[in-house]
Formats: sequence, structure tokens, C-alpha cells
Amino acid sequence: MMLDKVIEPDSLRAAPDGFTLGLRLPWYRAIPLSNVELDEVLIDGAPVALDGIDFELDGTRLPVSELPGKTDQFWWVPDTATIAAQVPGLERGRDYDVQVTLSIYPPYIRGLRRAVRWTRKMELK
Amino acid sequence: MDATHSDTAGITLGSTLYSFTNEFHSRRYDLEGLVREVAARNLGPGIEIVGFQSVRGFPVVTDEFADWFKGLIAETGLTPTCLAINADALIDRNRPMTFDESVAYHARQIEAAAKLGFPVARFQYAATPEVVAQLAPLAEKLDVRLGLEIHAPHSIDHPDVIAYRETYERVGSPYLGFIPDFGASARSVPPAYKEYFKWRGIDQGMVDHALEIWEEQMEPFKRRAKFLDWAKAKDHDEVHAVDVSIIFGLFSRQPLNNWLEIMPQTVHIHGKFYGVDETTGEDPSIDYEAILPIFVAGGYRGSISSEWEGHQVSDDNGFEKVAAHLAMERRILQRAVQPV
Repeated sequence: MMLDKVIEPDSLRAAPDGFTLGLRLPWYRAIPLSNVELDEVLIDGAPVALDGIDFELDGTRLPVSELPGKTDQFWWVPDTATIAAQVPGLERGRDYDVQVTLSIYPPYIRGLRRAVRWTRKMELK
Repeated sequence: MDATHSDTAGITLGSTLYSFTNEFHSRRYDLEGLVREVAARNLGPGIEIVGFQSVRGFPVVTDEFADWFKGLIAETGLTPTCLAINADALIDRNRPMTFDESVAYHARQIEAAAKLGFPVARFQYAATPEVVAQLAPLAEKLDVRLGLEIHAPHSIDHPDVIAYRETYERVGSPYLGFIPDFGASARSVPPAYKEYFKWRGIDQGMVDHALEIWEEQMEPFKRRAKFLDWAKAKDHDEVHAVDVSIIFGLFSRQPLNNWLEIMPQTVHIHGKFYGVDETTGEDPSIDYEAILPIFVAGGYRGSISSEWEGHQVSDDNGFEKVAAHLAMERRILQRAVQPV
């Protein structure tokens, strides 16, 4: 099942200005980053501003708002991407409920969208 | 192993590694591990892979990778049947590929099929008949047959498929053919999906309405939009509605004898399934007992990949699912060739 795999287990890490989180591609084959959209991120139910989130894969880092233009890089099935979000005041060692909604638009079927929304409780390490 | 497959009516059974998406996605198996497991569990002899799933960096296939892969196939004694390639027209969601871009995109993948030793490349209808006609000389040169996957919600008499049939008629190349996907001749939405929607806590009324639309006689590509418009008007959860709408693209119905019309041009088959009932030994959503004898009687002697798609809705073990499916196919095919 793809739905509950979108958040990499035990991947919540403290960063100087917020947190980083591992994401898995909820699809069977590699697709270009231009076909991926991060729709929503909540931490303990509070929305995280999407315009401050970066997406990193294979050493390439870009704001999530630039994903639609990233036609030259594919996200391969076994690989973990990392998002970096700016959220002040998080406490290392505490558990947080992290919810992610991610959509993919497979490039071979016009109008097809697959959307996953999943919540995982994880310790911020 | 009997090279003539006389116990399976001359048909080469086998697996697509797509069936093991759960094992691959979870990183419990890599490509080599999957190939070796298919051989060890006797889930061949046929083996199919999806280029963009199994090969990192596809459609780039280095000489080193091709040598390694062909060595692995030779060592395991498996038979490459098909490389599934994709018509990714909307990589740029605001600008579909041009004709020339699509020809080049497919050409690289057909070259990859030849390099990896696959005799057939599965392509998707989004390629367009004109692009495929343009690729026929390359397919002939590389000795790779091109098969349009007839996948739900298409039927063989849908205008999109008719357009290919007419183009094939005009081009007249034996390298252009079809790959039936049995999800396009299903009898019902698989139980695994209904269980998944319930497990996910999706409103039962929404699921029931989707199933009603699935049964309706209408242009198949309009079912999804009709359902999503309804769900939006009813203020249903959007993410749940999108999840349920997958049923419109995975399974559809058509008269089983329809397959006879394209049988001489059938270059491979996707034996799509969602589970074999342990009690009855049958697939509740796809009528293999009726479908396989049609292919035997129609003279099909090519390959069938067991294609379990349950990874969308379950964490079940793909190897066990495929083993049960192959056992079902062997039972049906043996009966089909026994003198009455």
C-alpha cells in the first residue's frame, strides 16, 4: 500500500530553523518532480507555510513552489526525498503528529491525480 | 522446464516485476533480488519489467548495466518477455510533448528494450498512432515488437483503439501489435479495493455511488469526472474522492470475445489480477475461467505476465499472490488443452 508509506518512519529531525522530514514516492515507477505537488503539511494540527518549505533529492534542493518546473529530474521508487520546513519553537525529544498531503500527476494519463494524506507520530530527533 | 509449454497450451507464463512493487518499494528487494526470487520460486519462465520502475536513470541503459542484466537473466534461466515503456507526454504539465519529442522519447525506450534483450515493448495509448507509425521502421530494425496496452477503461472498440487498428492496417508492419490487459475485461471492482476504502474510513455512500457510476453505460473516460463533480457538489473529502476515483482507470468491462478481434496482433498479455480466492481458486473480479480458453481457442501462443496490482491497496506479499495466480492459470490451461 502506498498511502501509509509517504512519510519515512523515524525521519523527523530538528534543524536550526525548524525540521526536516523524509518522504517516499507513493507510486510504482519513477516520475519527474514536475509531476509532484506537496499540498499540505501539518505539525500537531497546525499548517506549515508551504512557501517556506524546500524539497531535496539526490543533492538537488529547491523550494516546493519550483517543483512544477523541475522536468529534468526523476524521483526513483526506492529513494527518500527530504523536505525542510521553517517552524520556530519545536522541542527536540518531543513527539509530534506530522501530517503530509502529497499529490502526483502521472505524466502518461491526462487528468489523473493520485493524492495521499497520512499522519505519523514521531519523536523530533 | 518444458520448452514447448505443452502443459500450458503453448503459452509462456511468467511474472512482471510490477507484481512485486510492495517488495521493491519497501527496499526489501532490489532488481537483482526480485529476478532471483522469481527464478527460485518458479514464477517464470517469462519475466517482464517496467523500465521506469526497475532501472535507475531509465531510459538511459549503460553497456555495463545491460551486460549485467543479461548475465543475470541467463544465469537464472528466465525468458525476457516484455519491457513496459511509457508515453510521458505531460512531464511538463503545461506543454504536452510535441510529435518529434514523443518519437524521440519512445525511440530511446525501444532501444533500451533491444539492449536488455526484450522482444516486446509495451507502450501506452498516449503515444498516439502517428508516433507509433513513425517508430515502426526502428522496431523492425531492432527486432522489438511494439504492443499497445489495451488497459481499462479502454475496450477494443473504443475510438482511441480503433485509431490504432486503422493505423496498423495502413502501415502493415508485423511489428505493431496489442497487449490486452485483463483489467479491461473485468466483471466487478475487486473486493480488495472495497476493503481498502472501508479501512481508510472513506464515506460508504461515496463508495457506493462510485460503484454505481462504474456500472453505468457511458463514455468510459467521463466516469471519473462525473464522479469527482458529484463528490465536489456533495462536499465530500477531496482527497478521499480522488482515491476512490482510481477504480475508473483500473477496471472496466467488455464482452470477453472482443479479444478475438485483435488476437492475431496480440504480442503479449498482462494477466492483471487482484487476488485468487483461496476457497474457489478463482479471481472474483476477472473471469480467467472464461478468458483463457478464448485465447487458447483463438490460437494465441505468446506470453502472459501475471500482474498483481494489489500494492495500491494492500501490503500483501506479491510472490505468494503470483504463485496462486500461476497455479490458477496452469489449471485452466491444462483443462483447455485436454481432449474432451
